[in-house]
Amino acid sequence: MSWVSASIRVLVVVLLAGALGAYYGIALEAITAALVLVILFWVYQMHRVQAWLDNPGEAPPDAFGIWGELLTRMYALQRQHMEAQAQLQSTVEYLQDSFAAIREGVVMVDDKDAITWFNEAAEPLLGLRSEVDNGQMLTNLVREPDFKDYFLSGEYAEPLQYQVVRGSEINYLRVEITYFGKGNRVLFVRDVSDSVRLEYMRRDFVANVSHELRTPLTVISGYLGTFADSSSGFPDRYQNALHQMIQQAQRMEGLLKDLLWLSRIESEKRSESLEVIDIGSLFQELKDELREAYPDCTLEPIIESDRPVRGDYQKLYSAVSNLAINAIKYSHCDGSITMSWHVEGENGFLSVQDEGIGIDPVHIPRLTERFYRVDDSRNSSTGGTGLGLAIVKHVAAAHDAQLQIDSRLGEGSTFTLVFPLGG
Amino acid sequence: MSNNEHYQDHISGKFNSELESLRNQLLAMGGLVEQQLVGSLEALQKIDTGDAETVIDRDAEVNRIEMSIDQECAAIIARRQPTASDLRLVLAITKANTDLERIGDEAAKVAKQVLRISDDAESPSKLIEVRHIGEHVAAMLRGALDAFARMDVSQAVEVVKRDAEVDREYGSAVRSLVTFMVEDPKCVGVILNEILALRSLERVGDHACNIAEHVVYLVEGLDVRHGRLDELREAISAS
Repeated sequence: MSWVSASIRVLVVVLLAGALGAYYGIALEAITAALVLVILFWVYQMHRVQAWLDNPGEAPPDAFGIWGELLTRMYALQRQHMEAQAQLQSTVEYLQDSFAAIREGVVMVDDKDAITWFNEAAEPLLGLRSEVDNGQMLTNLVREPDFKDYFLSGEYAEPLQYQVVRGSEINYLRVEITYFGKGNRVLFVRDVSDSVRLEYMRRDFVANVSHELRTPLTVISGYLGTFADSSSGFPDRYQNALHQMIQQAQRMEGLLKDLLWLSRIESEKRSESLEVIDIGSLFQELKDELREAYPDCTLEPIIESDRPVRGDYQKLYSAVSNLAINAIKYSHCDGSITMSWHVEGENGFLSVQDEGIGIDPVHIPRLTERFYRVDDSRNSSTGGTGLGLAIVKHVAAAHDAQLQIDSRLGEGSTFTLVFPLGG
Repeated sequence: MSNNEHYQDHISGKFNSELESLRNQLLAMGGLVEQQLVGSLEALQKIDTGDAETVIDRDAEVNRIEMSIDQECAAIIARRQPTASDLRLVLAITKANTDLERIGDEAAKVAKQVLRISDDAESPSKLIEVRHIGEHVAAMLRGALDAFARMDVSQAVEVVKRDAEVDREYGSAVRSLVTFMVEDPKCVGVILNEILALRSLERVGDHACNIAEHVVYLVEGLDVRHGRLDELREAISAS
């Protein structure tokens, strides 16, 4: 019903009243009375609309004319709106239900670091309580300093693993944080205690086995040494065997020494009290030591910067010495071997370069694995233990340094430790 | 929740954020002190002198934060002249701050005892009592700080109740350690060090209990120190 017909209705009522009034000679009064009635009727209708709006869920009242039409349309709009809202709500609930069903702890945090939502799995992991903890600052409830520093740093490229102590239980949690929307973050928390404990067990096992094997081996190589001193008493056909036994016993000792050293580097926490290491004197000491063992080779130290590195001297020495010995072995002292130290920007570069046989690029990614050998024959012509580069990698990690390997077959290799020197 | 929101209705937004940041700093300090306590307990568990040294070294950090929080509290009182619940918040924070710093000191003391115990022969007690109380007070401290973060009176009351339990256990632990001393005079030295560590942990429990009482004061405006637990319970049931 359009506004035209509504107006016509009003006009008809007013004109009828006017005509009736004119018949009795009170046209003006009749028209006024009719208008007042019309207005009162409209006000009444408005009142009904208002009453209905207070409770819009119910069907609208029946109304006359344009009012009825208005109410029907409003009701239709209302219904549409409510349906859309219900749909959205169910989508939100669906999403939250799916998050809630995740076995990992999920926490959502807004741009002011306050918790907005978390699932049931997050409660025991982080010690949160449902209902009461929404709106709380996350770091006020999860107060472990490691977590707090990581969370507030805003740098979430690497996940965090931190220790949580509850009573006599020590647990390890792994946290991954992702940004979404404006400063909002979602945290995924997982209990990784089992795998961490397994890792510790493996580490301890290797250390213990190496330690246990060392005692019998000391006895064996001790007696072998005695035999070697009086080897004239042995028949000739055993001479070669004796010689090989001594060699292999020495190799085993070297292996156990490296394994023990590796497990020490691995298990030690990053020490906070670091010494200041002068690379120049480290190179000099190494050169002096290797001159004795490999008199034919010359190591050339090149020092371009006197900036020191903060770290553990013993560990760093063992890493550089492993690199230098590798260089000697794989170049057979053919060509020069250089050890250099230079600083570029905020990074220090410690490299050991040889002109030896080089490494096929396919091996480079796996080179630092324990016992990984470039030639499958696993022969030990070089006499190495297979642990050298693993030691270098762990020493690098303990110093926040990176190990870079550049090599070409037949042209030699360069191993570089890149140290961050900032601050 | 309602209590937290309360601090958001100041006309001056800056004041809100100052109070909020003060509270966050206190809880961050709480986190550090918790780590210190747990670290000293771990050192005790393994008799690890390295861990113990770390705890002793880090005590300076706790002291530094204590001073900075104190300064900030003084600045807020001077500049904003807080009243009613804001005043209670600032007061509770200064008090809890002192208690936390003391807990840090006690943790460092436990770490120092670890250094001494490591010099001695193995203790006949196997340190069972000390560890047990250690776990207990660590849980109390966590509860007290959680209650502070949530402004949760009932959790605070739980902590206060637990303190009585710790005191009881402390008594029986000392008695059993004394028995060891009586049995074998050679181990008097090591047991004495253990008792000192035990004493420090018991003090940690007391300080945690104090923090819980500050929470009640902060939320309810009631001073419930000095054993007025019944009064506290009445107040809670009335509210």
